[in-house]
Amino acid sequence: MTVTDSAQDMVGSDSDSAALSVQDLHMSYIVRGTPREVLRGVSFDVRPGEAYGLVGESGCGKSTTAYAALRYLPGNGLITSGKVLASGRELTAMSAKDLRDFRSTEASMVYQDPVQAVNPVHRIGRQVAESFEIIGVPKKEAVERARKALETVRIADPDSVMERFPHQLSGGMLQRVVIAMALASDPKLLVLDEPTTGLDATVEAEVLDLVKVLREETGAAILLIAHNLGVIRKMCDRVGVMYAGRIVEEGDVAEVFDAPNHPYTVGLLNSIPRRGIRKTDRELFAIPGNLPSIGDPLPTCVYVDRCPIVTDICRAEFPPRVELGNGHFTMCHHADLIGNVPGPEETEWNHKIGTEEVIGVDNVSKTFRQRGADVPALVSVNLGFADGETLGLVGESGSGKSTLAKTMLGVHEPDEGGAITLRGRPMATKATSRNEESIRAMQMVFQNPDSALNRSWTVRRILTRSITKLTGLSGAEADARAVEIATGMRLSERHLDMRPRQLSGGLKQRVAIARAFAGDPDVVVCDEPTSALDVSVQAAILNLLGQLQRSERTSYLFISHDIGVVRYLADRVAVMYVGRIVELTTTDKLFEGPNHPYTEALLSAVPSVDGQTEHRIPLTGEIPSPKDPPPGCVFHTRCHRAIPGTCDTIVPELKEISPGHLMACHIPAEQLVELQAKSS
Amino acid sequence: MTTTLPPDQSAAADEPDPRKVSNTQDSVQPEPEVDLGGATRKQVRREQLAVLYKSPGFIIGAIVFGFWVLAAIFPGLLTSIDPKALSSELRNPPNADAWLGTDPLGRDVFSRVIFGARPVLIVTPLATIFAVLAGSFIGVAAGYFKGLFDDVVSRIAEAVLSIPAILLAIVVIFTFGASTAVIIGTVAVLFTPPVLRTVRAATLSESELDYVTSAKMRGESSFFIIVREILPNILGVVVVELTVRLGYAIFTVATLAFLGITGADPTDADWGIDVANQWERIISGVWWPTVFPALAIASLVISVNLIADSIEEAVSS
Repeated sequence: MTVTDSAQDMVGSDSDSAALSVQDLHMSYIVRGTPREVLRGVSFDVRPGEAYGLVGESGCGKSTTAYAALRYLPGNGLITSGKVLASGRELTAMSAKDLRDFRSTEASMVYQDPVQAVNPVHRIGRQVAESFEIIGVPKKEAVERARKALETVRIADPDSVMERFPHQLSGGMLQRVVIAMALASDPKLLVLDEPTTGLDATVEAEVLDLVKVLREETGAAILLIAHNLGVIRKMCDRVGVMYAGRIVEEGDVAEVFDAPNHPYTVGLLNSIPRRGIRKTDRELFAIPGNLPSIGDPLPTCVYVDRCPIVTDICRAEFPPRVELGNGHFTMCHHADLIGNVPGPEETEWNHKIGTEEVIGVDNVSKTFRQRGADVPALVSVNLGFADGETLGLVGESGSGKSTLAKTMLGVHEPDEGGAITLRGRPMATKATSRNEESIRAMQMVFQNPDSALNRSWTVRRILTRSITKLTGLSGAEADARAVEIATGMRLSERHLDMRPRQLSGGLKQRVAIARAFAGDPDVVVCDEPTSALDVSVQAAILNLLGQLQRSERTSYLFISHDIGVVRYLADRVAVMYVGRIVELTTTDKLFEGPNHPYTEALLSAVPSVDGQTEHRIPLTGEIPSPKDPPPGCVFHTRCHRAIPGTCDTIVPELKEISPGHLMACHIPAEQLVELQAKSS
Repeated sequence: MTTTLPPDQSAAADEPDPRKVSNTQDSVQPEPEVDLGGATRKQVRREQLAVLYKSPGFIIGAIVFGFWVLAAIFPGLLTSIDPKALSSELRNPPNADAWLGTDPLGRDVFSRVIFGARPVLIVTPLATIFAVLAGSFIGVAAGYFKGLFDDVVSRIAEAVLSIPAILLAIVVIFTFGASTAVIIGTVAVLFTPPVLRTVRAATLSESELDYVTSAKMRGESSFFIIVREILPNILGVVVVELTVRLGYAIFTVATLAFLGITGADPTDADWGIDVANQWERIISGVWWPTVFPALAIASLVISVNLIADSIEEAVSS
């Protein structure tokens, strides 16, 4: 990796030569007539050829900084003071025409959602060619250059892709196209705003690898905005940690993440499950309090209200810039006391997983009828939950995870021959025909609380309705129980009379969890419950789920794309691919191996904040449509270990390779151990 | 981020798209999302009302509409002249005594315009309320249940929509006889399909949301889900429909009166009837008995539309 080399080469560059230099930038949004400050003096340099990352929670001003840096401000955005320089030219003082020239030739931006970044009615070829025409390439040549640009971003068949419309491409392909367009002008600076946030881990890994290679080829400087610290660790040389519109710590990415020196950075890093910790080891650290609102006056340290080592001086004086060597600095009065920041609490996890199967998924298949064709979304799925157990469910988008959850809960009816059982007895297939006991036994927490909570109901009503429906309590009794549950979720009584839109994302998810627990369920299905939340809020939610499991002995089916979170919370993990379970084992065994080749690829795709050496196994091609799954092993089309003649003709059975470790692969386990030892 | 789309949902992709919710709070929008954390529902409503009261369209609309409502309820406050009283002052242009002139029978045009507000403002609000009630209930059921019920209801609605409204009204009125009740019923039937379609579309996107799935998982009845869960969330759409359809209804009722098929006494003060009776005299220079009732219709329709637009804007703000 060139990380340290390039960072050292560039030491000594100053703001005149920097690809982008932001100097004490203050910016406000004008909201209903009053300017409210969002950026409170942001300063950083992106050196030529360097990758600089900005991290922080939602609302800390990362994206605003990126937009302000290229002067892409909305109408109500106002730069109140400070400067932005690019290659020595002052962007903040440029005329509209100069600015246009600058953006078309020297800087490019890639946004979070590629679908919104392209025009749906134009063919890909046309759009990519257009970005060359803008910089003055004649029309005919532009088409040729567009083809080459698509080759550069590793699109296999550029001629056919150029003829296609955006909706005919997958998210990952589309993001490559957008990157190709961004690189058209051979920019000196590439701004990437959450470029992989909406993508699967496997696709994310491919896009990030591509950006890395392109960076070496073109020598462009990169400003990367991401909330995922693993992504920053993988991609960047240096990182700036942002909080409330100011950079609180900056330095070499490995130094900052391995030896953080600002209380906020410490809290942020403690809130993510890293270094393979488990729920049985310790809780995650949830930063108390909330991010200040935009416009709040924060004259001294921006972090005072949430800082665990705050003293009087922090409220009285602006924090000094404490240099820690090698360009690493922190903005803190108490950089020497950083060891006093409390870590997460150890957990006393002495509860044993039961032996009785509470809910069973017995040979469940689900076939949808779509335009006259059969689409098998689930194929012979068998699972069981013991009480107090968490079963993690992982797999790419479209692997059937949510379909399985909804089938279990009776939203979809399984095909003939399959059943969901409650303590051995089959339940009715549809929720409406299930008896009270079956409904009570299993509830769900959804990914997005905005969608999952009725926005015209108060929290009290949301909770009491579920209590009445699931337990039969009503009136004052139900109300008392609602208060009790809400308190258990660390919601205060005043939240009960609010409506969901008045609550923050984390509080909303607590309400959703409270609702799921209203009837004292045996199993709660959690479908990506934290993926819409910031890491520190995620930590609080995961802690809550852990505490509830300890006190209520609830079992979870925990669906997530975040392998780190699954590793933290799950006791066993099932890996799904095209509606089939390809591997099912305990969490420890999953991370020890041997693994199904798909699991192997999935695990290798996860960018780690700890920056361990990675041997990524690329997953080429798209996940096959369940409509016509490949013959033989469904994974053979993308498998790096496929045996020709066997894997493409014979369907592998899900069989036990060691006690409690099920896998559907033709390659014998001993051989997998060898192969996987060799590659890592 | 994995948002698994089961095939049955992608099959419904040609329906109005289900509400897309971004996966992270980190949205690309640099737009300052004002934290509603502190704002209570009351505050939000107060702010919406403030937007409404500040809108010039709403103020003008409310003043004009208010004037006609006053005229319909207490015409005696605005004029002391009997609209049916004949006099020897024939075809007088607007003057100090008769502000808007007199018609060829010597009746006071101003008084007729004032008294003419009542028939319109009795028939149209009633008809609109019936249409919106019927359209909302059928629409919400069609959008929720989908399938055969939706197909049948939607095809019937389209069939009604494809027949010219006035033609249909004429047929109905000639079949059932002309009376106020029949007029109200006819207009209500005419305006149910457009309301139904709007409410159905709103329900479709609403029922994609997870709170509906959650209600199903608790085993709630369809009736409960529709009435208690979904309906409160589409009330804004219903209110907007109510005002928009009222404007169209006024126009339709005035047209029926103009055609003389409302069954009203032709000597009654009624804008449509007056326009119908007098319009041929415009050519001989006697324009006032026609133009003023016509302006009255126009001002009422425009004022209702101004109010409708402002409400729509405030609701979506």
